[in-house]
Amino acid sequence: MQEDFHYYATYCAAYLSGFSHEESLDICYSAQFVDLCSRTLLAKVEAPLDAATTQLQLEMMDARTDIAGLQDITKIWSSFHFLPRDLYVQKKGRTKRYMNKYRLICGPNGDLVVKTVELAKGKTLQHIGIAMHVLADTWAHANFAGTPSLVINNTDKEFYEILEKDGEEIERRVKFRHNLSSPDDLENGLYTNSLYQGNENSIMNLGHGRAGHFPDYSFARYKYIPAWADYRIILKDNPSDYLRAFTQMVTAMKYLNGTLDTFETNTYDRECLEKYGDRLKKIINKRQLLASEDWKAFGQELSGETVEDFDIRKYQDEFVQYPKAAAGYTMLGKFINGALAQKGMVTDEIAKSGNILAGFSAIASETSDKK
Amino acid sequence: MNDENSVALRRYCKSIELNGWAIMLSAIWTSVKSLIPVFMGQKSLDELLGIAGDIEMQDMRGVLIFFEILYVILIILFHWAIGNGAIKYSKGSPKKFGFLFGAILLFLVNAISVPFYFISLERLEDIDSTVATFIVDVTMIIILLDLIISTIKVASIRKTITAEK
Repeated sequence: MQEDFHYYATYCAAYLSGFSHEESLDICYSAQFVDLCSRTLLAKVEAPLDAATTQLQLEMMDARTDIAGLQDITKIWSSFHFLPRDLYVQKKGRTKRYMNKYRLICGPNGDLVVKTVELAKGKTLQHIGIAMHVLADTWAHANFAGTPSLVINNTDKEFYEILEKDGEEIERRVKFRHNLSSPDDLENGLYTNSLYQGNENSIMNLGHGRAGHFPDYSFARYKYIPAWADYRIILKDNPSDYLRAFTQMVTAMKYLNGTLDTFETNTYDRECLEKYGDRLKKIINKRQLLASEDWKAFGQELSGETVEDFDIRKYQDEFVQYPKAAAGYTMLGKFINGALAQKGMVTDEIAKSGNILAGFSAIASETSDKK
Repeated sequence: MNDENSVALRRYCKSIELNGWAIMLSAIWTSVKSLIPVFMGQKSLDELLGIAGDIEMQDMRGVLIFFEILYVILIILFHWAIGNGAIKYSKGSPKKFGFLFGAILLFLVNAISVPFYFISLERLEDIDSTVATFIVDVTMIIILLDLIISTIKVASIRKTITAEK
């Protein structure tokens, strides 16, 4: 997902779940920050590099793809952007090596998303924001794995967008190109994706690179054949998934703020859907590269307050100026603690399942918090 | 979309397409392998043409080289025709089985000729190139067999789907 959903939509969901305007801002800031907290940024503010929740393209270009390098990549991407759905799924006639990757395929409503939300209970708003990012991405990034793998994440030229033209539903073959400087052309169906690389562990085969930005567009409906699906076509309905992501975030945050006693999978906030369903669908279905303005307007209508735009530098000075011993009391410090806890939990769970692809976590899954 | 026949059809069509490409690329190998002894220094060009020591035939050298080149071109075109036909068939070109007969012929030629590599081996020093050629040709046999079986299966599935409609 992109800034429109991780920042603005998360703000809306947080407010609807009962958090105040200021609390919602803290939550949505952290949710968006997950996409930006790289080692480069952490090094700049002299923060622990282990807390990285993403990797920049330049960092990935330099990343090693030996076992240690792959574990490092997988730890980050599986923990924050491609949370595995089922670490114990079975598939006949496959080697252990294949199954290690197959079991990292992301999807919603798995056991790990419940653990992610429960881990944030009683913790900081920043930790809640991280959990919401992870939860939302389980919907958008479903069917891709957070580890570089051609046999899991590759797609082929049988990739079709489903759109409406003159009131009729049509299928249009997607034309992919590798042109990072040009935005996707929605009108003519020209989209950017990662280059095909025959090497199994190439960084180009990480996540949904081969499908371009399709998973991140809320309006997109498309069908394709993922490499793992044994020639079965997957139909991805983003409008439906994004709506469920939003309402599930509301449910999760109601649990986190004490309104609900438990958080269970496959539960979506009905109240929000009944009251705002049409408005949500209108925003989600609108065919645009970024829906930030629409989500922002919705959020401001809900709270009656101004939702400031995301500023990556907002809390960096605070973190740098604070004494190191008390850094955990800063916004970034709380975010870092939450990130370390989330990464530790997911890495532990993957390791416990007998899968070595994420390595081992030297970080306790329960990290002390300073509110 | 994901019923058994559709999934099987996609699988076998993909197999045919990949095998088609492999056959087209193997044209280069098939045309070059006859010249390997010359490249490896095991034979001279005259020995390859069968005119070594034959003074009279030396005058025919130009003609023989011409026919050798013609042979290479025909080999390439033959492989290209099979591969291209397979690729078109995999994309839905109906009932054009000409490539299948070519594939069967090529399969038989390869299968029969493979044992003769070792039977006709004159010097043990040539074993390395013989083994390499053997491995590549066995791979080709497997590709052709897979192509033939996949084509038969696709034809059968398409017939079933048409009958159901």
